[in-house]
Amino acid sequence: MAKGKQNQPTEKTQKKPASTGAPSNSGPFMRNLVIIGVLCIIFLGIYMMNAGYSELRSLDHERQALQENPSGNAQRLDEINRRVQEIESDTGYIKTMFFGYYYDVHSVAFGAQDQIDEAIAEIKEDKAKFGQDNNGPITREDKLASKVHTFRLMDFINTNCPSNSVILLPPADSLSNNSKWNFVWDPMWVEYFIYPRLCIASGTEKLYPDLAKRITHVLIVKGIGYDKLKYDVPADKREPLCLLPIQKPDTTQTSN
Amino acid sequence: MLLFGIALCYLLGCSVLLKIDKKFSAPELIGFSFLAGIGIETVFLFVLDIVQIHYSQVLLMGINVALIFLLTYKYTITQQDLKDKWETFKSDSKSVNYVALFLFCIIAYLFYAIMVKNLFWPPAETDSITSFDKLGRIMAIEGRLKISLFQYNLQGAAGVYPPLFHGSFAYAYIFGAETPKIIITLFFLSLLLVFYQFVKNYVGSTAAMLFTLILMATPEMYAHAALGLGNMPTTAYICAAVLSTYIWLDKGEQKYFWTGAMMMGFAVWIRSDIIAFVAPAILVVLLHIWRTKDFKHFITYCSFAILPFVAWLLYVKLKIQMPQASRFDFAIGYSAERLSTMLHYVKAYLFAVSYNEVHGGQLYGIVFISFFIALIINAGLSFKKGAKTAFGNQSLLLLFILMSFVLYFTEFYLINEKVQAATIASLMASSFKRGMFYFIPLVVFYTATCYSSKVIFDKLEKFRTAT
Repeated sequence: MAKGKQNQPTEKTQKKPASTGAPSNSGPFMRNLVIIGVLCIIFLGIYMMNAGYSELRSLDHERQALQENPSGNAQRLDEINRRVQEIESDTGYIKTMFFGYYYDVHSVAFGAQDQIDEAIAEIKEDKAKFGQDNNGPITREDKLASKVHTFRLMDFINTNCPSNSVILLPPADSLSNNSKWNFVWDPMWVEYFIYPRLCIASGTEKLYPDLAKRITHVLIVKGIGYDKLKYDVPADKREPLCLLPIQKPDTTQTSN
Repeated sequence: MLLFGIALCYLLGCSVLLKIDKKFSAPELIGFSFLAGIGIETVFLFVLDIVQIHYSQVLLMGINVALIFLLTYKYTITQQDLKDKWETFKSDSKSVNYVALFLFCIIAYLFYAIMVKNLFWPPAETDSITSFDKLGRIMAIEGRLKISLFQYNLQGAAGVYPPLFHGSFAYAYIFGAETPKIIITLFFLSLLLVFYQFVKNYVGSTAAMLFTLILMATPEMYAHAALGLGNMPTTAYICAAVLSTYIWLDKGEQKYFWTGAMMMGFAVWIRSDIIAFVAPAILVVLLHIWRTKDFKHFITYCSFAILPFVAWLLYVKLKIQMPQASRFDFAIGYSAERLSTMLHYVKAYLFAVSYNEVHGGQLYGIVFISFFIALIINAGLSFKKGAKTAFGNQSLLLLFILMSFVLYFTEFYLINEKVQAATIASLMASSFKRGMFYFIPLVVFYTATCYSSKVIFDKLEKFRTAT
């Protein structure tokens, strides 16, 4: 053992000229490659460490499909639930710290183009459903419509109200707990879509008396808002979602 | 037309930079040009609004061309300048740094991916719809800063924010943009370019590329590079302002004094609460200048940093005349419950742990943890090598980070929950979380350029180049 130890420094001194001498011309390139190799291993390690998360999406899709189908395979459902639990409970300190990077690369960077392609296909499908030309260019409005559930309602307001209209919005308490309606009760939010038309929140009429005096239309959602009209609409003619003039109209306009 | 507008913005910024110094590197020139250019464009919008002239594309083009001409008509590129540039390029390109090139390819791909996403989707975030994009779009239509919606309080919360961010959206719309998010991409690009050059000044291109990648891939910030929100652009200004100021104090290069002062001015021109960064910056500059007694520089720096803040306060008070309840509750006193909630969130963000719905590790990755590790290593080294070697002028940067964090924390502690219509927990989980971005370039810069990193990267560089 002692001899072996004594020999080690000699071996090192013998090897030294070989490592710094002969390969010095091609050395830097190889050394660059070595560092790149190490970096690749580190990056790959981080990626693989969190690769289980990529399964989650497909497992979730499969679970939804099985849950919607009453004759779905119960055994498979159990397997999926167990696997999801296994992945989600694997939350070590180091692993969670690197999860964000994995997500950046896997979902945002690698997935960006796929997500856009998916969105374009959905937008085209949606346009076809509404009888529009789905071969035309995808506009900002099409993209907004695919992100904002109530965009078509906003569009309906724009189509059916002159630019000097003032819209009374439905009260927040009836809608704010349902994301389906986005923020159709919030005048700051609605104004973005309907400008130059103006809007006012239900219940703030006293705060903005000038604007309240100029209300021309009432947006009725979930059948709420008929009491704000200056005329009566028979119960059997009350639509749950519509835009009505505050003064008695000649005809009733209804949103799709 | 949008590309022409953006080109004008870059040319304007570039003209200002060349007036300061000819010796900016290419990344600095591109990065600072946009930050300075778009900042100045929003100053134009502000001044035109003050003098009650409705701005338009033609008017802005005229002002830009005139100013670019005024700034550059005496500017000459001598043969010697070109020769110098060529010599620098030649010596740089002699030995290719494949590691830096490899890291650059990853950065370029990540940047491309986020840009594609950013340019496809219009702004659809709630804050953007209720405030930023709405203000920008309507400012472009009406040709004024105080848009008609102020009359009915429909402008959104950002109506009282300084105009740089939504003004930059307005600028894009004035030049025909369908959506203004190209501006977000350019802010992100500027952040990366100036950060890269700052780090490269200290530790060479391999480390600079690696830490630029770490900065860029910070999960929450990378996600924000595709959102129409103001936190990432504010981070770009804070990075440019604070690190320029630090390099000026450290190396005494005059060009960084000017970029530091100018960017600090734009930082408060994008968000007033950035005053939490201006006050410590002024104090750090004063501490340093006390030795040299160079008060001329101090006064110039203060003027750049404070005047935009004061100008905007006066504008809100006199022109917008919005009756506002104070955002801050100075009578709050000591609230153990509030402090405890806030500290739990801070702990989660800084030490990559979970609290309620947030997980610091998933949001900021290794950024803060590696900063603390670097600090501990350097503190240990200071016993062996002496504090001056282990910390040196970086103690100024650390002092700045600490003071600005305390002030930023205090701002949130004093927030009036009723006026803000949000609980302190929800503010910590949203606004404070996004505000943590401002510290990211600063702590990553420290981690990259501290004594221990320099030693490691020196060794790596020697290995890489076989010297």
